[in-house]
Amino acid sequence: MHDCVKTRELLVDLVFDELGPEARRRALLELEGCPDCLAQYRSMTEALRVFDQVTETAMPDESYWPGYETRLRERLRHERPSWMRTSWMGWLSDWIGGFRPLTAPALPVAAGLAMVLLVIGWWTWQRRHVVGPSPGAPVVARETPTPQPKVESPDEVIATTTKPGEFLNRRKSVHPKATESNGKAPSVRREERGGKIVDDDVVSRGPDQSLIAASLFTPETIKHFEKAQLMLRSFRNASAAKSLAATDLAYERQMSRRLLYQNILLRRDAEMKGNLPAEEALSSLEPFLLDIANLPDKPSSGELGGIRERLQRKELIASLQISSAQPSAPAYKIP
Amino acid sequence: MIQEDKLIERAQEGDQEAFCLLARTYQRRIYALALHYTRDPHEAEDLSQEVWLKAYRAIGGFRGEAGFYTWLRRITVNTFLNHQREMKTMYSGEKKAFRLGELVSLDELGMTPAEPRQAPEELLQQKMMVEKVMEGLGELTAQQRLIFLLKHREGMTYDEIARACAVSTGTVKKALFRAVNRLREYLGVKFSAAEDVSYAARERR
Repeated sequence: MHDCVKTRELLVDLVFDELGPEARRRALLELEGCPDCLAQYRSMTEALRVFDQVTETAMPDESYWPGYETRLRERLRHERPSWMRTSWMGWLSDWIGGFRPLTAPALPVAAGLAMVLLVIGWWTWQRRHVVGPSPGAPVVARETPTPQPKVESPDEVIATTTKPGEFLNRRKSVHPKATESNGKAPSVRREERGGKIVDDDVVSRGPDQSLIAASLFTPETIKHFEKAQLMLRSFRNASAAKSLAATDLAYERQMSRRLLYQNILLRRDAEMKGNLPAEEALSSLEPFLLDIANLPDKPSSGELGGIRERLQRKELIASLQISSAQPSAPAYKIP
Repeated sequence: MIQEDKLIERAQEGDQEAFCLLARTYQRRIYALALHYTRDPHEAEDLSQEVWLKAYRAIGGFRGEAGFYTWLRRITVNTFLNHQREMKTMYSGEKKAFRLGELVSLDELGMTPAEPRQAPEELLQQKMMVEKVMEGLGELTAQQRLIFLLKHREGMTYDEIARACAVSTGTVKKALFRAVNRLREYLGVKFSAAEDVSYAARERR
């Protein structure tokens, strides 16, 4: 018995091809028996056919597209892919000068490392040529054998010897932090007594990545990066294991939750202080912490592989390693 | 011709040229969706380009688990839904009419109909038909319009549309029914029962 209401309910499925072959055959049989239902079905398919025909004419012709592409290019010029927006590598590449090849993901890291090496090289060169021998070595007056008046300026440190007849004033560069004590010019002295240099106040140490990291991030953030780095390494190794027991990642998940909370606080803090490098570094870390913290008890290898692959692609562990390079001892003690 | 996956790889490395080549492949399709969704050529360009900008920002996260177009369509739907929300806030309750004048402005943009050698009367008739279609679409809510376009132009299943738009399959079916009926109404497509005696039999074959 034909039921118009039921048949018409099927018309949409029929028109949009959502019925299986058998259901379709039955529906068409029903239509054959009811001219009204059939008329409705035909008018629906016809409306769609006319729609297709008409809408084709509303499309712009070929001459429109070059302009469209130009406008799109123009808008894209101000854009950056997310890996650059959210990571401090992007900030670094911008800072270096927006050099075009730096848009490749590995290159900002390489450029960053090259910059660090350059700074180290320059610092070492400065120390060798201006400061003279390293601590502990016998002091030999090379530059000025005669006593010179003490010059104390904010960016200079006087190193003096008290050895009779051997006064040596040496100029040496100072880390900018050393100039910050109460707005006074620092007077860090290295004194030699009895032929031995007493290095109480100044620890001469070759600068490294840690100095740069220290200037960009707060000690708390550096510590956070260190923990995150360890956790991510542990996650990477655990998730790469062939047989993955459910308990294997319990530690990483728990740790991720803690770090996530800390990360949010630090990111907000950096955001408020306008510390862009810290904010971006923390922002790029956050999705990973979130993903690991939200892993199910028995994560699939696909889920783990996805996170691992992103970690590798973003070179996050390496970035964190640079960011968390802790100064092994305070470089300068400011009195 | 450079393979799509190579272009994707290069675009993921930040190569804008590669990304533009990718966009060229699909820009007409995305634009057509935007045009029927917004019913305004200017807005359609804006919205479709917004889709490309979002895709560019997110391309680093494309893992190739689904096809590139499937991924892009997801971005398109989300962009359209966001646009819908913004429009709701900006022009609540206001209905936009698609007028012939707007079609004339297609010419200003260098957008002339596909067959330039048509007679002026034919051209006018075509424009009036487009106007009718757009008005018919204008009678639908933005969501119903999107559902209709995703089904009819994109060939997505009820389930896929329901997931993409966060609605039930029942809502999808209702929206489609309403959309087709509006189009029927506006395009003046009517069939008498007498004309269709052998139609179903032909279809079945």
